[in-house]
Amino acid sequence: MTVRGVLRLARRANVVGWLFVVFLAALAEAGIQLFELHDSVSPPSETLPALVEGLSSGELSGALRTTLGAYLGGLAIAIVVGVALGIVIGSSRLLLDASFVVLEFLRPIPAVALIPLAFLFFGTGVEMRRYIVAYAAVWPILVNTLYGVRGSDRILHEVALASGVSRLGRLVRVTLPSALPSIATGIRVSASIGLLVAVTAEFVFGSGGIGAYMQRQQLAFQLPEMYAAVLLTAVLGYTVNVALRLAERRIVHWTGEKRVRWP
Amino acid sequence: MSETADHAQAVDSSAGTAEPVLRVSALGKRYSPQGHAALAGVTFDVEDGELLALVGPSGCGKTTLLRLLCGLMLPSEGTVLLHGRPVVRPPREVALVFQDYSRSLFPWLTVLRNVMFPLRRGHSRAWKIERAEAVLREMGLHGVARKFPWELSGGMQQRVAIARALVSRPEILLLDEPFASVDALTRAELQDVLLRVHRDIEGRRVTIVHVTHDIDEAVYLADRVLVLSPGPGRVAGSVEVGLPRPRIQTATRSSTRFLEVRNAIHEVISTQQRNTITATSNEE
Ligand SMILES: Nc1ncnc2c1ncn2[C@@H]1O[C@H](COP(=O)(O)OP(=O)(O)OP(=O)(O)O)[C@@H](O)[C@H]1O
Ligand SMILES: [Mg+2]
Repeated sequence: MTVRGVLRLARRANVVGWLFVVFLAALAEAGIQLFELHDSVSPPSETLPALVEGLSSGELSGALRTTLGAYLGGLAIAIVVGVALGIVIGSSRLLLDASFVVLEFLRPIPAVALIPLAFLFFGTGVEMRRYIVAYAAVWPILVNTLYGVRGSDRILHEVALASGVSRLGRLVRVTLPSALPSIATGIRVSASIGLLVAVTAEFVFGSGGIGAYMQRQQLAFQLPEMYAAVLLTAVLGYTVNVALRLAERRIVHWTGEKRVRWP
Repeated sequence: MSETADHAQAVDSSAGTAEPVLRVSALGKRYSPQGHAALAGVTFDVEDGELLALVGPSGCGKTTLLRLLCGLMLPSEGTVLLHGRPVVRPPREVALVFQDYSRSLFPWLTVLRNVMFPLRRGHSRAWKIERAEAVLREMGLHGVARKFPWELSGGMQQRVAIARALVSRPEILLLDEPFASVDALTRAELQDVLLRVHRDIEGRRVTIVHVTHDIDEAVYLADRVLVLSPGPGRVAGSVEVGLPRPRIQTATRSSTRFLEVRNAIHEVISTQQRNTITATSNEE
């Protein structure tokens, strides 16, 4: 393999980015040892074994499964509801005006503030957290879908109209694809918000999932175990983001994104 | 590309006494009830098989007129009759090529899918693909069927737009300044593509209404040139071209008849401008 080939491969896998992560971990390790911060922070050399141990013993991996259930379920609900509502509301001036105030009124309510309400309806289980996640994640998707729909080119609609395509047909064949790039952005934003809310809700109620695991370890002063859960959350968020980026690049292939290099 | 015009017979421009395909009478359009009129009292006929060019300055209502002709919107006054029936929704017999080809092709669809777009349900998928491929071949685009529009040059994209307009075999093709944003060479090539479409596409003739602000282009292509005047748009004059077909870029453009027709059109425009100036100064 040529030098240039190696460099290109390295860039695609973003070797530099990962080396930097390793560098930061080493820095943290050294800092913690040097300043003797063991009481408040767990160094990478203890966190990583705790993560491996937690996953292999089944305790942390069980928590991961519970979290994923609420998180992905809630995200799925948010995507379906957000896209459908966004397309319907966005393609009618009347509906847009009618719903504007309500939407702007509901949107600033933090999802965590709805926990007591959701608790009354759904108890403290996975189901409650799923709806909390769905509520938090629906807004970026809805708003981005609305923008995408409003921004769809009038000429494309006229092309469809002149070809005798029905109103519903135009929704599916013109409006939806036009809004897709912006929907994808909304979903990516929602994915990180959703994870945040899922773990927070678990932490508050302590009834299961990574958040509850975190809270238990914290109360027991098991720092490496607690940081292992934090690390796992970060890895989960990263993985979801990368997966969404890849999916986006395949599905929304016609936007400029593909010509911009992303590691 | 001027060899496309080689083996054609001369076509007489006026189709005689037969009923016009399109009859536009006293057509007027206001975009808002209180607003100024974009068009007022526009009256003309389009004969079967005719290639009619519409020229006029920017903002005189050319796009508005085409949108009314293809039923994308309804007139405020007057009527558009297609084969004697009023146009109230987009008719199957009419296809439109939009002013801005880069905005009128679906970026998420391949060239083939773009061309298949207007084909209605009720046909099998295989038939649709075959139909679209046939039109693409006809337009010299068979090599790019699987590409996306944004991978093509401007001239190619415009051909795709024309192919899409032709796929459902329209009787009437409306074109809105289709060659305004391509370079001069590509423009000449596309003009000859259009002439071929007019004369014989898949063994039939197509009636064409071609909007342009390029007077030379209008004369080169058309049987008749309609001059529109602005504010509100109305017909200022109609000039018969009477140049023999086939038209050939160099020969046609250098003939004396070409210059005569061109001057006649300029005459109509300047007379109309003088009238407008007189009219406004009288008002004062
Ligand atoms: N959607 C619209 N709403 C309100 N007014 C419009 C609209 N479209 C066009 N107009 C007005 O109608 C008039 C005619 O516009 P039109 O687009 O038909 O002109 P045009 O001859 O096609 O111009 P150009 O050569 O620049 O394309 C203009 O005064 C324009 O401002
Ligand atoms: Mg126009």
